[in-house]
Amino acid sequence: MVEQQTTVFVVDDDDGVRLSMELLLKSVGLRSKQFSSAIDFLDNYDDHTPGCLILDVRMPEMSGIELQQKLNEKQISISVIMISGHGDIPMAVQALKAGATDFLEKPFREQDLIDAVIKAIKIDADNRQVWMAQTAIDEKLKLLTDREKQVAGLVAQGKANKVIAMDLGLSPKTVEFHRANIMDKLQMTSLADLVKFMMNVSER
Amino acid sequence: MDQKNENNMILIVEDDAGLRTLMARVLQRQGFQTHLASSGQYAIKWLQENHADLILLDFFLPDMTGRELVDQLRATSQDEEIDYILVTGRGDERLAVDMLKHGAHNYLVKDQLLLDLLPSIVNQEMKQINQRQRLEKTELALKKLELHYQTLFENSPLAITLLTSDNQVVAVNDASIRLFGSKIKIGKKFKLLDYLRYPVEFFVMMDLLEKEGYVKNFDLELKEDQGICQFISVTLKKIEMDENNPSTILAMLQDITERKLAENKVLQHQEELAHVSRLSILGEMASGIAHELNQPLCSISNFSAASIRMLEESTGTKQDIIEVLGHLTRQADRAGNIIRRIRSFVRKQSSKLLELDVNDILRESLNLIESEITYKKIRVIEEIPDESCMAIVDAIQIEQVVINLMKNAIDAMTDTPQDQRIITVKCQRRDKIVVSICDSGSGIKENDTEKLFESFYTTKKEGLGIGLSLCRSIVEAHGGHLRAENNKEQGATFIFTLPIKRS
Ligand SMILES: Nc1ncnc2c1ncn2[C@@H]1O[C@H](COP(=O)(O)OP(=O)(O)O)[C@@H](O)[C@H]1O
Ligand SMILES: [Mg+2]
Repeated sequence: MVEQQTTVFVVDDDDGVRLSMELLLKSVGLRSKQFSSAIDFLDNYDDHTPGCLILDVRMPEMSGIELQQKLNEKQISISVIMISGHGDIPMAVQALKAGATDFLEKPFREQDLIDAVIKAIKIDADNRQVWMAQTAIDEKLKLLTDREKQVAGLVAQGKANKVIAMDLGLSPKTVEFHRANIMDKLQMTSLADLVKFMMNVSER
Repeated sequence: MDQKNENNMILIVEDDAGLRTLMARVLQRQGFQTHLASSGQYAIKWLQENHADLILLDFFLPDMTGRELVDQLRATSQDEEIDYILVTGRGDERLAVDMLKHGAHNYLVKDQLLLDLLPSIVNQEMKQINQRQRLEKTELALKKLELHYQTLFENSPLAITLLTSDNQVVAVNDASIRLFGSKIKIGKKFKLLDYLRYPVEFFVMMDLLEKEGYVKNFDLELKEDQGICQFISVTLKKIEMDENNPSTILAMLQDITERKLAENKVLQHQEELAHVSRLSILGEMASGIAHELNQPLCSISNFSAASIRMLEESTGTKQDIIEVLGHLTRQADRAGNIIRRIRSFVRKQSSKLLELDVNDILRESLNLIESEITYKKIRVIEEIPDESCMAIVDAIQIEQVVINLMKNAIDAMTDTPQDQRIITVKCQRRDKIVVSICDSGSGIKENDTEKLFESFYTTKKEGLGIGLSLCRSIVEAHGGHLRAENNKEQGATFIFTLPIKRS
């Protein structure tokens, strides 16, 4: 996986708004990419890129709300800042419910936008970190056989080998063997590591 | 025998019984009617009740002379001519000359030739008398006719005036004097121009008179402080009275103040209604308009923030910043244009009639309603020709018609699936300009499409029902028509026409 540069994506049908956003973001040192329609964005967006997405509620063809729904369907979790015009409050509520990190009413103070962008980027980065950690755990867990996963779970609950053997109808020797394999595959040395690891798994 | 003689009565005044009978017989043979009188008194009495076209008058009568008889007759019959031929004895020629001077037509001498000469002399005189009588009759008829015309002229409610080319008043009737009082006098100059509120209109009118030879119902507004009425309608015609006055002007003026004021009131009322309707339609589009306005405002605030930061943190060159400010200015202009468009649309009073391209008005209207169209996800197909469609129109009013029809079309498509919402706006140039707006909406529910054009007819919860009735009166005031029809497939089409202005 290649580390991507943080980017603010702007989707707005208005040329002036796009250009002014780009300049404003550039002036505070943020890289941005502009799209004139939701479709255009969907066709070109690589979900490995961290950052955030600024969306206009009201656009021809596909509205900001509709794009947000599409992203949710595709399980793309980039943070969204929704921008709306006057009188679109119901839509703003809808956007926030659908997971938007922020909502600004046009025309907004530029500091509010910048704050919202920075906040959204942070949330996005956090999300990505959690997601990556999770992915790493998932990857490691895949190394274990089903029996080993079972054993690991019970070990993490603090049960002794003998108890585990009884629960699973195995000999203590076999349990001992699985345990050694687990520690080996997960490259762990202490019981504490295994307990921590399995806590993250069971949280899901 | 002369037929006409039957209608002529000849009175023979002669005391000699034999002679008068003979004369009567000769004349009767000529076809004349005769009556006999033996004395002056009898003749006078008879003539009081009867008419004689000609009198054969003996000078020496038993009770008076012929001259005395004529004088008495003249005294009693006011204007009527006494036509007579004197009959005298031989040697009385002197007397005859006297009586000829006294009005006798001719004279006859009582001798053996008398009866021979009588028919030809009487016939000859009778011919002249008849001719004169006919002339008198025509003259009388003419006089009567003139009197009729005079009565018409004097009693006409129209102020009628005859003027020479240099404004000298030749004739005026009572109505003229009622209208202008002492300002108009025969023999004096009358200058309408002095009393007009907008003098330029006078020159337009006179120009028209010069070109066409006449001007019909030209409405003029008068100055307020002249004690005349406020509006007059003027009809002018150049006429040739006679060789001496080759270019007389017949002017007919009418006080139309009452009508004009009523018209103005109706117009004002209609203008108010139109204004309310424009406000209401704009209200319905408010959120779209706010969005449209927010775009440039948002850009402006972004551009200005960007340039401030570039200056503060020296991240941009002077050239960069100038460029950003250029963008900013363009967006400010854009916002200004949106406001201007809206302002001119809701302006209280309509603009004036101008020669304009209907295609431009269509484009401008679509611009104004664009955000609404975008928001409702409607596809608009513009079939607007490249060639211009010139017409004499009030742009704001026609814009209002187009926007009303577009708004109705949008409303009709609320329940139409998004991908099927289409409005086709078409403009065609035929013998007139034909504009049609075709939607793919619900169609017209009413069987009688004319009902839609009645005031306050609406099927919408929040509808006012004045849109279409207003559209129709606007289009008809422009000399066009507006009608509605359902499409074969889906939706409805509204079509209006405007007369073409050919250059
Ligand atoms: N394009 C259309 N399709 C179907 N019905 C229409 C259309 N335009 C107008 N109508 C009908 O005519 C009625 C009167 O229209 P209008 O005079 O503009 O008043 P309003 O829009 O306020 O109802 C509407 O309520 C609707 O029933
Ligand atoms: Mg309407």
